[in-house]
Amino acid sequence: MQEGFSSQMGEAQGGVSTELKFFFLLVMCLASVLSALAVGGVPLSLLEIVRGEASKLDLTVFSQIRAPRVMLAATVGASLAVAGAVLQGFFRNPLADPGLIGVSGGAALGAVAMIVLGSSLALPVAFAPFTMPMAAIFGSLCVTGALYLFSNYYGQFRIVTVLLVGIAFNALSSVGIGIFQYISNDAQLRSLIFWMMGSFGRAHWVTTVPCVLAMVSAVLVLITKSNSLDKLQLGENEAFHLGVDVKATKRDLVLLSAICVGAGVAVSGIIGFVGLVVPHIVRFTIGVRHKPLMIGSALAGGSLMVLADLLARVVALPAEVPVGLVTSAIGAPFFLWLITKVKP
Amino acid sequence: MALEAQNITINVGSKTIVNSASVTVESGSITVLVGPNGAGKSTLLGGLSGHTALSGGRALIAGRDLTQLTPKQLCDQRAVMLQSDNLVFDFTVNDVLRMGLVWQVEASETEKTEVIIDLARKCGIEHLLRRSVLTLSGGEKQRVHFCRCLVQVMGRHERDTPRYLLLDEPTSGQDIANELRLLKLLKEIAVQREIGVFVIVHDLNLAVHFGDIFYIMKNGTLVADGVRDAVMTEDTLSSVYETPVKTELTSRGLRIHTF
Repeated sequence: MQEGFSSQMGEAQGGVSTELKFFFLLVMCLASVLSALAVGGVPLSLLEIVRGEASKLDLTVFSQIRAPRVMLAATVGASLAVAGAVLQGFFRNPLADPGLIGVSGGAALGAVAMIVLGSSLALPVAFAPFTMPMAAIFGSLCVTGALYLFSNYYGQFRIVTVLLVGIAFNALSSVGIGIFQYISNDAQLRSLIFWMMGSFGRAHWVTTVPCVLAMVSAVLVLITKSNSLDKLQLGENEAFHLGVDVKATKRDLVLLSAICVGAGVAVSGIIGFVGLVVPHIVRFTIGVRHKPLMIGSALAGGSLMVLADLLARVVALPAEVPVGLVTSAIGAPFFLWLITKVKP
Repeated sequence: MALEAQNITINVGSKTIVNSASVTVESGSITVLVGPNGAGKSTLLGGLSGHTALSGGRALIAGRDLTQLTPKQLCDQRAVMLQSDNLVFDFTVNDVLRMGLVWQVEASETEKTEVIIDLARKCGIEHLLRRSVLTLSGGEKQRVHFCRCLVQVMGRHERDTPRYLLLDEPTSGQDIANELRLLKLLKEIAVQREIGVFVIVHDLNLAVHFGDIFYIMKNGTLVADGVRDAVMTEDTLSSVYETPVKTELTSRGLRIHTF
């Protein structure tokens, strides 16, 4: 009854040990972060900065613009990739991606609602960095929770059903966002459209640190659930018989993946396909068990996003392309290829 | 020490699937449940495993009510093999067998590997250890899950914890040679390791050959229980299956014929 999804390429790489593969990933991560720090509209010499010989301007660019941006891109990439891996495992569905199944859309609706309605809530200014992430997390939680209830009610989803439900959720989110655009005033509309384009360009320490901390902790806690997620692959009954507290585990997975997606969307808008592409590449190269899969996805997702953002910054200097364009350009063909393999 | 169901009733919606059934699974013996399709056998097994909520009665493992035990405590004491195949991603046979290592805290890595390889050999899947489960045949997959359940109950070295194995048609997809191999292994493990086995089977000849205690279920009710000669009689079987059944005591044991 279940559609199988085989990625037998994994066997071919039997010669290279897992430790070595993780070492490569770490090197890739480091290399992409360093090059993203150095390359840009203002080229920086990292050596000069380390030696303390850099000019005041270079230092400011580095510490106030470049560093927070790279850190944010790396965290969002890692967080979306891990969320993708978890959602695929949770729904036992290789095509699940936070964007495709509507989780990112829910987060966007939450964030947009906060942009438009936030000012009328009259919250203290100190809460400002938290309100939008909280609203976005709430939005993605609603969608993940609804998907979860649907799947409980109808039994295990067929692969294609999750995507169809995702289309419906995405449509609903668009309706909500459209309504908020309609009732917003000029200033709100401007910041709303600016936000929806999806970019790491507005990264400041104050606004990003809470989200970064939320994403990092959610990813770390998710990694501790990898054993239970492995056992859930056998089925919920079987996982229970292998000692998994299924209800609590599912609740935690829903909540934590919603935090990963919601916090990411709040700070950077909707960036598609990272959660789909990265976990599959890691499955092919490292393996399907969720611990190496999540750690590998975090490292690969971080590097990929940093590189995509680097490309978005420099490809049309001095202008900037939305980073979501870059990830979708890679992700959409990959998704098509995946469909031919999975045959939903 | 035993795994017991005391007058358990299980309702699904407004329908009673299991009606006041009592079962005792003793350590070191094989308890067999037979009955026509749709009799409620799998649901009864679900109640005994602690997974299916009971509408009446109670289920006990070594004197403790199953509802008082956490999934972790339960999995230390019993393994359950269901008729299912849910894997979507490319887990290897080895990955799946290692999921049965719930006693892993006390064991060294070498010890774990030894247990896995030994049991995989006995189940005839040693040569498949590095293969993806998705590439296996139905019968091979079934042996993988059978072996995983053995890993779960066999690993522990202390003899004091009672261990039980609940199996829902574990050999339904096996050829005659493998069916015999798995049932012999089951018998051997039950006796040597004092594991209580509760197994649902359809082949009555295999049931009488390997079973110690027998239960017959029909329409949610247990209609007979006890040793072979008291339960597996022509009259009982013919009426339960609504088909004429002949039994014959031969030099090689009891034979059951339908034609």
